Amino acid sequence: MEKIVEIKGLTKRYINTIALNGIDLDIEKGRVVGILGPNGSGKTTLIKILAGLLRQSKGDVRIDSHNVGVYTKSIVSYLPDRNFLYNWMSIEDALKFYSDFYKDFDMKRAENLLEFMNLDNNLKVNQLSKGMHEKLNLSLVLSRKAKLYILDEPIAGVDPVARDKILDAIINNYNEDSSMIITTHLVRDMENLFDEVVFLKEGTIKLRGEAEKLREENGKSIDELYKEVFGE
Amino acid sequence: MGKYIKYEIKGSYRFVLGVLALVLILMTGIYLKGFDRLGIIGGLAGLAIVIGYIAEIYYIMDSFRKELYEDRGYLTFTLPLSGKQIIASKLVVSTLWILVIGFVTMGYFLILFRKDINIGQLEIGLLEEFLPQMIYYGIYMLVLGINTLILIYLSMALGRVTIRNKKLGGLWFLIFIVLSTFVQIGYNYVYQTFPHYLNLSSFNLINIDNGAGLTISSGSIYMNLATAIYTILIGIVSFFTTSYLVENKIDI
Repeated sequence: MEKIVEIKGLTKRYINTIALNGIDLDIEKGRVVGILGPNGSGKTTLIKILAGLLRQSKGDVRIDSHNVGVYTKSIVSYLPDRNFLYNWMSIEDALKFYSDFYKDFDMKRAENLLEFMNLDNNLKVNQLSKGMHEKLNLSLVLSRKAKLYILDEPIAGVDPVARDKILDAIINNYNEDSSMIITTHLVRDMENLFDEVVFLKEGTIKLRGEAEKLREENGKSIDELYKEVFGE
Repeated sequence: MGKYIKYEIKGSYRFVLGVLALVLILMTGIYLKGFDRLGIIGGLAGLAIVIGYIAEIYYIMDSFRKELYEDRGYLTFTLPLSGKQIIASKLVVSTLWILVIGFVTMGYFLILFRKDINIGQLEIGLLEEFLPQMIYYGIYMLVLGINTLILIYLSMALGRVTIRNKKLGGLWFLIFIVLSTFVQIGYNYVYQTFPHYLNLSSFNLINIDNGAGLTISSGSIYMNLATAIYTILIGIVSFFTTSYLVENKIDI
């Protein structure tokens, strides 16, 4: 099967810490992969390297057979774990912005998603609550027909109602020809989405496998396995 | 790149209009006080223009700082654009606003003080002689201004990658002072070593000892050719270095 992501010996060092320590990871096309781990395990660092926001200290990272750069940014739809839209924007500006920069942006799908999320196009970005921000950002990211979606903690810090809406949006709008990487430490809420999971601890891969196979082999849910691996 | 320029303009035009409105109101207020004509009042109006420029340059600097240090960088640096396209777009928009503020405020200045200046009474020959020189002088100053902007961007980018991408807010300013000092030392060395000047009205080449980058003598403006080339080269090197750092070195 063709690979969308190929990572070899990936290391990221900061001044006093090693965030990622020689990771090898390939992701096949059409898969939904959960990168699971507690805070500080290196999930966000890994994702930011894939999105082109961080540079690795060592190792190779290729997306769709290209080094991370302008091309990979055009095929990756990235949801950061923060409010990244410009403050002067209204929701309508944000839609036009995405439509202008990404050829794969589907305006009709974006309008449907915003309606589903109960968001008014005329609202200004700086007027939105945390939950509304999360819904808007996800609507923009899922409205692209990208080859790879990268979602960093898509349900962290939002109330249970918004959480359900966001999960529904991911399930209903995920394109099966694409691949998706989701990081989270809220495993129980998201484990049904994953085809495959990668447990990350202190910058190294502790466990990796098909979600269904891991459940069968261990007789446990992914959430229970997570608690076992991370000792919670 | 055109699209990014469009959104840079969209994101900054309100601030520029605000600055323009403030400067024009200040100039009108100063003019209406009217106890003296071109002397004190003109000077104060000139000061209002300078304040407008300072506000605009602060905004330009702060806008790039936010890209490097705040969350908006997550959007800008994941767009399918190269470092060169991002930096070039920012320079184009900054230059555009500097020109807009310059033309509007100077135009308004001339309208307010038209009776005192009375362009119609100026000798046509004198105007014909000086106008082209003033235009070249304006272009020269604009190039110097753009160079300073690129140097500020470079200092910010260097400030961000120094000490392994640690976010040290004021470091860039220190780097800017050091870089500017070196650039100025080089500039002085160049015009002293190559004292070949171009007369901006007759386009004759002459040698001037003890000149500067730009020298005014006997009603003519003389531009040192070597410093002009040096300035352009510094701008090009700074631009490509900043673009490289933004694309390959900065961690957001």
